[in-house]
Amino acid sequence: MKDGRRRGSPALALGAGLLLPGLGHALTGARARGRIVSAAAVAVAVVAVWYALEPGVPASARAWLALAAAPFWIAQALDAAACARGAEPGPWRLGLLAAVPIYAVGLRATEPNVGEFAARWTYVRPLFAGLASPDLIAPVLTTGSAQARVHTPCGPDEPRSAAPLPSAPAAPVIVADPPCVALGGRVTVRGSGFPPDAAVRVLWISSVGGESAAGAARTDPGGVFEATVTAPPDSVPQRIRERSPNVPQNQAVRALVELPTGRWGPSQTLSTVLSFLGVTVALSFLATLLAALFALPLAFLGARNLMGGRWWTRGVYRLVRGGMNVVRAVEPLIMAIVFVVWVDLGPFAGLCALVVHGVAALGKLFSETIEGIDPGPVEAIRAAGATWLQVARHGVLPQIVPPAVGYVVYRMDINLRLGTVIGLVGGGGIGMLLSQWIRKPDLLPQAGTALFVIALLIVPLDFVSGAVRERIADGRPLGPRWTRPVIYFAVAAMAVWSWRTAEVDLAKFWPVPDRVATIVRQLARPELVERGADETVASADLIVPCPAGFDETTGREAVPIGAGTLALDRGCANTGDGVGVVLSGLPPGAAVRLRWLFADGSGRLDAVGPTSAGQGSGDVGTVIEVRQIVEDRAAAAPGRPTQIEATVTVPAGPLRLSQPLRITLSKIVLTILMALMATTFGALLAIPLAFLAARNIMGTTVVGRAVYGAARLFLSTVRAIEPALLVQVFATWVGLGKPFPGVLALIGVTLANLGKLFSEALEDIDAGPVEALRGAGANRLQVLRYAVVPQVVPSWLAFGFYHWDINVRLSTIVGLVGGGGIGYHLSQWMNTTQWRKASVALLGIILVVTAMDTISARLRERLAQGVSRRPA
Amino acid sequence: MLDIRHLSKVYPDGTKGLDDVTFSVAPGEFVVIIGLSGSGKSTLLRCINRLIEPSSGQVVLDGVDVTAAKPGALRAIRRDIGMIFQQFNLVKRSSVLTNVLTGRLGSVATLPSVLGIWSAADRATALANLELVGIAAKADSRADALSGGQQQRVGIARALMQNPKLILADEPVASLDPATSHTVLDYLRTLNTERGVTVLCSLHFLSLAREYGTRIIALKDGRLMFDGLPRDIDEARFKAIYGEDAVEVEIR
Ligand SMILES: Nc1ncnc2c1ncn2[C@@H]1O[C@H](COP(=O)(O)OP(=O)(O)OP(=O)(O)O)[C@@H](O)[C@H]1O
Ligand SMILES: [Mg+2]
Repeated sequence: MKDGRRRGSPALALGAGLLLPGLGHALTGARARGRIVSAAAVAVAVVAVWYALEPGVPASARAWLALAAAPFWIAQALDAAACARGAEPGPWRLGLLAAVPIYAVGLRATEPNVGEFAARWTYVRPLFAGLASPDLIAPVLTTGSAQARVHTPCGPDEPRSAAPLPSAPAAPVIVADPPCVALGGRVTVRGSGFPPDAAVRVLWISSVGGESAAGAARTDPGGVFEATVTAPPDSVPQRIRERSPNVPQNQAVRALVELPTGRWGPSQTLSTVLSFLGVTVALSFLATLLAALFALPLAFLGARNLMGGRWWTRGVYRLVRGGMNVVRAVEPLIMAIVFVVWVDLGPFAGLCALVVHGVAALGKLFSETIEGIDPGPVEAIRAAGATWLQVARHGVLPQIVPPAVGYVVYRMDINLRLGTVIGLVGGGGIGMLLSQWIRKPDLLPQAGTALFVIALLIVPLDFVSGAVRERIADGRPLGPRWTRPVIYFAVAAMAVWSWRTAEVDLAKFWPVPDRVATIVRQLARPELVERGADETVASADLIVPCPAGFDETTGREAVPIGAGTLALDRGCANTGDGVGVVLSGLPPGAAVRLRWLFADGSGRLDAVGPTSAGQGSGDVGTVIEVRQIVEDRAAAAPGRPTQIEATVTVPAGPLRLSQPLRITLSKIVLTILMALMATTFGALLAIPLAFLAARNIMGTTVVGRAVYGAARLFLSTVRAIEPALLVQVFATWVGLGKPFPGVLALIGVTLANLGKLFSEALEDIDAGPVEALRGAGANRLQVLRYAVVPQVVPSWLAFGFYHWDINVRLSTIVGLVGGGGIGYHLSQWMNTTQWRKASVALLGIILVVTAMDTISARLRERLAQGVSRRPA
Repeated sequence: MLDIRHLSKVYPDGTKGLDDVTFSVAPGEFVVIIGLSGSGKSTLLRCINRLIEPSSGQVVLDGVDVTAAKPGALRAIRRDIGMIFQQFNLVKRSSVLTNVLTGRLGSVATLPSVLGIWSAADRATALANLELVGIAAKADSRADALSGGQQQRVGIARALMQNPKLILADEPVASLDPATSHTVLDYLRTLNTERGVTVLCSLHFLSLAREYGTRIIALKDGRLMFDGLPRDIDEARFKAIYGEDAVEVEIR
C-alpha cells in the first residue's frame, strides 16, 4: 500500500488526526489509508449517534460509549503521525479499536438476555423434547361405541323405563334407564355387544353437542356392562333452564371402548403434520414448475447476446433484467403477505409468492446461462438465414436445457424450504400449523414433532438434489432410458395433484380486488414526511342517567376548544342512548380523538375522528359530528357526570421526517447491528465446528470419522430449518418481537452455513505444506497453525463478509416473524394495514439490502486482490 | 457470381480487419483464401454473409447487393450461402439429424420449426446429405459423441441442406488431423465439381490450398496480397505472404 510521497510533520498529522479522523492521513499524503480510516470513523460515528438518539438509553451508557470510542480516535491520530514519519504500522490494531465501540453498541442494542435464556428453558423444554423424541407412531386402537338418547326433563307422556337390552347384538348397543330424567338425576347405562373384559368410558353428550366424562365401567366376559351416571346440571344452557325448565331437551350418553390392536400406526400428530406438509410439498412443486414455465420465455428476452440488435431490443433486455433484479430483491415472505391480502389466507397466496419470486430468480439464471452458451451454433444457424425465434429454438434452447433443468431442481430445493415457512405469514402449508402450535404451551411437544418431520424431509432432500444436479452437470442421464417417460409421467401426475392440493383458484386472482388497488396506491405514496401537530383538549359533561326533572336539552353548553367549540347534543342521557359529539369551527385537516372518562375512574378511547378537511364552510369552519352510544359504566356513579374529552390535532409547523421514517432509519441500523452480531458470533462458533466437520482434519480413525459424521449431520440438520422457523423457536424461548431471538436465530443459520463453507475450505487446502511441516517434525497444532490456518483465512474472511450480507437480508425476514428489527415493524404495519408506513419500511429494506450487496461485493473483491498480491 | 468491391472492415477498437479488398469469383470456382493468423480471412468470409457488418465497400452476389439488403432480404440471401466453421459450431446436445436439419431453418415456416416439426421431405434430404458425407449411421447420435472429422462432416451436411450456390468455409480443417482433413476437403471438392457449388474456403496450409484450390487469394494485414492460380505462388510470393522466415510445410 504505497501512497506515494509522504510529507508534513508528524506533529501536524497528529493534531489534524485528533481534530478529524482521517484528516491527518490526508495531510501526509496517505490518502487511501485516510479514506479507510474516515470510513471506519463514519461507521463509529453513525453507530454512536444512533445509540445516543435511541430512547431509553441511560446517560452512563453514553459515557461508556464515548470512552470506548476514544482509543480509536487517539490511535488513528498516532497512526497518521507514524505515516508522516514514513512508517506503515499494520492495520489490524486500528481495525480492532474501531470495532470496540461498534460491538459495544451492538451488544447492548440487541438486548441479549442470557438470564431469560436460562430461566425460560423449562418453558421451551417440551419443544425440544418433542424434537428429540417425536410423537410419530401410536398404537392403533379398535373402538366400539354406542349412543342412547336421554331427555331432560321428562315430557308429560314419556315412558319412565327403558326398552330391554338385546342379548347378543351384532354391534355394541346401550340403553339409558330411565330414558328421561331431571337434571341432576341418575341414569343407569346398560350395554351389550362390547369387547369382553374391556374398560368402558361413558360420556355425556349435552344438548349443544359438548362432551364430558360421566362414568366408567368394565365389561364382563360376555361383553355386557352397567354404569350409573348423573345428568350434569349444567348440560343445558342457563337461559333455557330458566326460561323453559319443563321443555324436554335432547341429550345423550355414549359408551366407548378403545382397545389396542397390537398394531402401530401414525400418531394423530404425525397425520396432521403430514397433511400440512403435503400442502407444502404441493405448493413448492407447483411453484417451481410454473416459475420455470414463465421464466423460460422471459429469459430469452433478458439475454444480452440475443437482444443486442437494435435500440429497442436492448431496451427490452434492460427492462426484463432490471425487473427480475428488483423482484428478486423482495423476499418471498414479504410477497406472501401481499398475496395474502390479494387472494386470502391459504396455500394459493404462498404459491403466488413463490411463483413470482421464482420467475425472477430462475429467469436471471436462465438468462445468464443463455449468455454463456457457445455462440458457434447460434452463428451457424443465423448464417443459414434463420429468424430470431428459430435461432432461439434451435441454437439456444438445446444448449440451455441441461443447466436449466439443474437450476429448476435447485429451485425446487429452495422452494421446499420456503414452503415450510411461507405459512408463518398465512401462505399455507406446514408453517401455518407450526406457528399455531408453537404459541400454545401444551402443544409444544407437537411443534417439536413438526420440526423433526421438517428436518427429516429437508436433510435428505439436500443430498438428493445435490446428486441430481451433479449428474445433470456432468451430462450423465438420470437413469436408464425407460426412466424418462416415468419421470415425465410423475411430473405430470404431481402437477395435477399439486394443483388441487394448493387450492389454486384463479378467480381470486383476477379481477384484482379493490383492496389491492388501494394498497398499491398507498404503497406508492410512502409516508416520508409529516407536519408537527398542535393539540388542544377540552371536555364536556354528560349526566347519566337523566335525573328526574331534566330533559335532554338541559345542561347543554359549548366549550371552547382551540379556535372552535365542543358541544354535546344533549346534557343528560340514559344507558343505551346515542349522544352526538359536535365539534365546530375547526381548521381544515383537524383530527379528533374522543375519550370517555367515567365517574368510576375508568376510561375508553373511543373514536379517532375523521381527518378530512373542508366539511362545513364559511364562518362555521369544519364541523365534525361523532355519535356515541352511552354504556353501562357511565351510570355507575349517579350524580357525578361522565366526561367526554376531545383532543383536536391540527397539523402545524414545518415538515419533518415522519414517524415511520424515523423508526425505519433507526431500525435499519439495528438490523445491520443484529446481522453484525449474528455473523460474528456465528462465525466464531463455526470455526471449531468446521475443524470437526473437515474430513482431512479428522483423519481416518474410527473416532475421527464418527466425530466428522456427527458434525456434518448437525450442520445439515440446522441448515434444514429455515431461519424463519428458528426465529419461531427462539421467539418462543426468549420473547416475541425483540432483537435477541432474531440474533439467536441468525447465529444458528450462520454457524450452520459457515460451518459447512469453512470446513469445505479446510478440505480444499493444499496438502503439500501440511506434509512438509509434518516432515519437519511439527505437531498437530503447529501444523494447523502454520500450514492449515494461513491457507484458509482469506477465504474464511470472504465467506464471513458474504454471510454478513446474507444476514442483513435475513434479519429483515427474521423480524417479519417475530425477531425484532425493521422486519418486525414492517409486519406490524402490514398487519394493521398501514400501507403508507409499510411502504417506508419496504423502501428502507430494499435500499439497505442493495447497499450491503454492493459493499460486501467490494470488500470481497478487495480481499481477493489482497490475497493474490500478498506472498504466500 | 460474387463480387467483392473495396470491402473494408474496421473493428470498434480500430483494428483494420479488412482493408479495401476487391475481387470477384466466377461460378464453379474453388477459391482458397490463405494468410497468416490475423490476416483477415475470417473477417472476409463473415463479411460476405454479413455475420460481421462491413464498414465500407460492397458485396454483390448474383447481382444482388448483399451489403444493402434489409433484414428480410438478407435472410433470403443467407439461405443460398452455406457456411462451414472451424469449430464446427454444432449444437452439442442435439442429435446429428437435428443439427443437419437446422440448415433448413432459413426456408421453413417459423412456428412448426420452433415446435420441432419437420417435413418428411426435409428429413429425407437430411438423411441423404448425411449419406453423402458418409455418416448416415450416426444420425441419431448426439453431436458431441462424434469425432472431430465426423462433426465437420455434419457441418457440411448442414450447409448442404441449404442447397447453397456458394459455400463459405472458414478453416474447415484447422481442428482436424491431416488424414481427416483430406476427407473433409474431398467432400468439399466433390460438391464443387459434381454439384457446381462455388466454394470460398480459408486454409492455413499452402500445400492444402495448392491441392484443392482452383484459385488462391492471399491476405496480409487485411489487404489483398495475391490473387491467382496455385502454381503461380513461388518462393518470393510465399515469403511475401507468410513472412521471411516461413517454410512451406507439406500436409499429406
Ligand atoms: N471482434 C473483433 N474486434 C476487434 N478486432 C478483431 C475482432 N475480430 C478480429 N479482429 C482483428 O481483426 C484482424 C483480422 O482477424 P481475423 O479473425 O479475420 O483473422 P484470420 O485471418 O481469420 O486469423 P486466424 O487464422 O487466426 O483465424 C486481427 O488483427 C484480429 O485481431
Ligand atoms: Mg480465422
